[in-house]
Amino acid sequence: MLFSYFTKSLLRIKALWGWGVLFMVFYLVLGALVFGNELPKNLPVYAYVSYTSSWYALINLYTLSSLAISISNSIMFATYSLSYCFRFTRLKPMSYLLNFVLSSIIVGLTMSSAIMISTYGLFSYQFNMNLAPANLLFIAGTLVLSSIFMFAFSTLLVLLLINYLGLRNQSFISFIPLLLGFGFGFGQLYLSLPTLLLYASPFTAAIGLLYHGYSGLSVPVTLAIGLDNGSLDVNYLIISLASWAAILLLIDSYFLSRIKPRMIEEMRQI
Amino acid sequence: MLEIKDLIVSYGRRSILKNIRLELEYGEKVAIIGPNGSGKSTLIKAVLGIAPISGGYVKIFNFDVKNLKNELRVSANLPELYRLFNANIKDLFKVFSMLKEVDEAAYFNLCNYFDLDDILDKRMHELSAGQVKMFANIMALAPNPKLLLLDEPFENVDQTKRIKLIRILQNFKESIILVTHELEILRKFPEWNLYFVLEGQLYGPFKVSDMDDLYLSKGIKENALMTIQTSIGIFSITKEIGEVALKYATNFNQVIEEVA
Repeated sequence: MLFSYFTKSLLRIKALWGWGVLFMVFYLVLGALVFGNELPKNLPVYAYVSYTSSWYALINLYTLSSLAISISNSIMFATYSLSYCFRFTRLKPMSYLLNFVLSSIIVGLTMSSAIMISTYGLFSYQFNMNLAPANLLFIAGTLVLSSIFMFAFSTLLVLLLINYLGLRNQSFISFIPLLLGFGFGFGQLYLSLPTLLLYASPFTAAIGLLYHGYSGLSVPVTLAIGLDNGSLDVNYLIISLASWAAILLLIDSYFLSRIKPRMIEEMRQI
Repeated sequence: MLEIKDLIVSYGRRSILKNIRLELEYGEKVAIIGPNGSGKSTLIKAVLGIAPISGGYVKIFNFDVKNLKNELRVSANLPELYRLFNANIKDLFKVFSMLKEVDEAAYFNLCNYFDLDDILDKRMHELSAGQVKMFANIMALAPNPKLLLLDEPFENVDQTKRIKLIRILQNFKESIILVTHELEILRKFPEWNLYFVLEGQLYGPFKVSDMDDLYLSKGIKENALMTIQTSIGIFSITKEIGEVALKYATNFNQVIEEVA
């Protein structure tokens, strides 16, 4: 039951709560109390629901990416241990990954709850209406898939770093999930991205599904209010996100079984 | 049970181990001594498959270590092997007892035997150098492996714990490879086979019990049992007569300094 030890360790990381929750709540404060002030007061209710859900979806994805980065970075400290454990203990690469996946789901759901409660409180207060999430079960399911995907993606980047690129490039690689999250997030918010890209990208799939779970509305091609470019099929988004998560986990398992022991000193820049 | 043949370990262009050959039978115990930086620890890492093997092979129980998976009969005392995640010692004992399929009591009993119960709630980075070494020794010993690999197990360890560890190793029934630069401690294991490692090359076997009759001399001597070629010259290992007697030395660094 490695996941219980992983979870305990993760929940104790103060920086994770700082960057993954407090900093994200700060963004929600901006979204609700600063940018929310610029919305006209006489819009139909669904517009406020949509606005709130867009913020929730984007911010929650960033929370999950901070979590995924923290987890996958920890692998860099364990390269010798993993190499030893796969040879001389009963630990297998896939079981190691699944234990980490389970703890990232538990911690992801915990952190996301804080984001969801903050979204509900701040936006309901700002718009003076009940903006509770529409489908908690759907959100939970999406968070599970998104956590797995973010973990698997960050882990893949870290394993490529460990096995091929060297730990010196760690600071660049660490930001890739967050940068892609921002890129796709804001792309989906303001641009009319090609439908195929929105289905194919796990980032936009996760954002779309979180939006749908919170709002109960169909997922628009462009999240920003007033840009009606059609909507996306939720089932395709689920298939896309689940496929990415499963495929990346399998690739992770392959690279993990060939992990190269690395001195952590390699990470030093100066 | 262990076969090392023509082993070469290189980091970049630099070869750390050169054409190492060593075979170990079930229950055989081997001490390997050499000065700091001679490649002793790298040899242990190569046996574990965590050093870059660029030539030759290491076979454990007839399987190439590169392809070995889930082999529970081997343990080692390198602290970095146990940094699986950030946890206190108590949790690491519990996790590794699961992974090694060993009763967790084996870890806690050893910890108690070495009077180290106060480390249980600490994390590895909170331990002193001696405590880290003893923690790693416990992790290696608790599974009672068929092949025990010990890298400087006495380094930074206080006298009382050294004595207790010596007793455990004297009564250990399975195979051991112990690398050290401390000659004095080896005298406690007179039946063990002895090898010297210098600049990545292995010389032996001798018997630890013969160690006090051995001398190291500069150059090639007529009565040499073996000659050692290094970047600072050629040395001969001789018996009963020579320049620097191993029996007066406490560690191998001192022997090399004196003879060179």
